[in-house]
Amino acid sequence: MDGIHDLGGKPAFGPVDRSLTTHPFERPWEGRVFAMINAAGRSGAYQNTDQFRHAIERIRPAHYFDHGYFGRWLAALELMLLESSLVSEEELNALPERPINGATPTGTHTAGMTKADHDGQASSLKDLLASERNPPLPHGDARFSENHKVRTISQSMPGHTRLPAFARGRDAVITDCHGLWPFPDARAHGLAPKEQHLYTVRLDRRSTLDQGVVHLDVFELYLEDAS
Amino acid sequence: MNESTDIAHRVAALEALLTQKGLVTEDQLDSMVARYEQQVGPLNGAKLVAKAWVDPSFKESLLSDATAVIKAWDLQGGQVDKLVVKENTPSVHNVVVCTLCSCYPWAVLGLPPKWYKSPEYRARVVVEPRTVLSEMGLDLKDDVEIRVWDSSAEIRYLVLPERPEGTTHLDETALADLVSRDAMIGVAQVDTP
Repeated sequence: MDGIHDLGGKPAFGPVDRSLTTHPFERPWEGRVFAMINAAGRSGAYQNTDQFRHAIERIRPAHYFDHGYFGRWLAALELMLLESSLVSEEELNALPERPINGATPTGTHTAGMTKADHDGQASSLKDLLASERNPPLPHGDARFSENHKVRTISQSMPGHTRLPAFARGRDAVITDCHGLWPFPDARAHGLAPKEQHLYTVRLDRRSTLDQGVVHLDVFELYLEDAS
Repeated sequence: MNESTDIAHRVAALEALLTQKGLVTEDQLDSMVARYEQQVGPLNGAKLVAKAWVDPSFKESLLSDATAVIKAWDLQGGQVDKLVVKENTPSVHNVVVCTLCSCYPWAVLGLPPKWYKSPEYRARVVVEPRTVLSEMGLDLKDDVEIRVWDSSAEIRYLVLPERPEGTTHLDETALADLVSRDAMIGVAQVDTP
C-alpha cells in the first residue's frame, strides 16, 4: 500500500544525524516492546513477519513518526493482539495513557488484515498473475537470468508490498537470482501465490541525482520482460 | 510527566496484562533484551571482516556464500535468512538501507542504530547517496561508483570495507577492533589507527 512508511525518494527530509544514539534501546520500554513482539508472535498474535510489517504500515500516517521505531512496534503489537483476539478492546482501553500512534483496527476479520485490503490485494494479485505481460513459465522455472533487461511494474498494491514506490515503473537489469522465496505480498494476507522467484535488480542509473546506482530485491510478479 | 514516561507506563501495564494471560513471561522478555544488549552486536560482523582481510580463501567464501559462513560460525537466526556481502574497492563503494521499514542484518550487526531507522536516511540515500554520505562525513572521489542496496526482501547485506593502509603488523583481533558498525553499513570507511 502507498503510505508514509514507503520513504525511499520522499522529498523534504534534511540531513541524517549520525550522532543519534547507538545503544539498541534508547529507553528501557523500547527493549520490553522489542521482546514482547517476539514473544507475542510465538503466542499467536501474528503468523509471520509480513503481517507484522503490514500492521506497522497501517499506523495512521500523522502518527507514524511520533515515538520512533519502537513506538511503531508498540502500535503494531496492540493492533495485532486485538485482531488476533488475544486481548480485548476493553482490556486495551483499560491500560494507562492513550494508545500511541493511533493505529486502530477497521473492519478486521483476522490478524494482520482488514476486509478491504485483503480483497483489494487478492484482486490485484489475480490480475498480475493473469497479465500477458508477465506470464509465468511452466514448472515454476525462473523467467529471468543474470543480465536480463526488465522493467518494474508501475501499479501500486492495495495491501502489503515489498516493491517500494520509488522503484516502480523503472528500467532495470537482473544482477542476481535467488530462487524461490516466500512471497510477502501474498503471505501477509493469507493469499496465493505462496512463493515467487526473487531477483536482485540494478535500477537505471537515472534513478538517482548524483550518479549512484541503486539495487533492490524484487519478486518475479513485479517484473516485466524488457529485453 | 513527559511523553516517554507516559509510554513507559503503558508498556509496563501491557506487559503485566500479557504476563497475566500467560502470553509472555518476564524471564522470556529479560533474556531476549539481554541477548540483543550483550551478545548480538557488530563485533560479529567485525570478526568476519578482519578474517576476510587476512585470509584470502575465507574472503572468497564470504563473498560467494556468506550465508554458509555465518551458519558455520553459528551466527544464524536474528532475521538473517540469506546474507550477501558486498566488497568495497578503490573504485566501488557499497552502502545499505531499507526504505520500507528498517531491515538490517541483526545476526552480524545486532540491532540498527537510530540514524539507520531515521526518515532522513531511508528517504534520501536511494536518491542522493553521494550527498548523504558526504553529510555523514564520508567524502568519496567523483570516480568512485556508489552502489546502494535497498533490503526490500529477506536478503540482508553487509559491506566488506577496504583494509586500511599501515595495518600489516596487526593480527585478526586487533584488526576486528578497527572495524566500526558504520563501516559495515557503508556510511564510513575504516581508518588507519
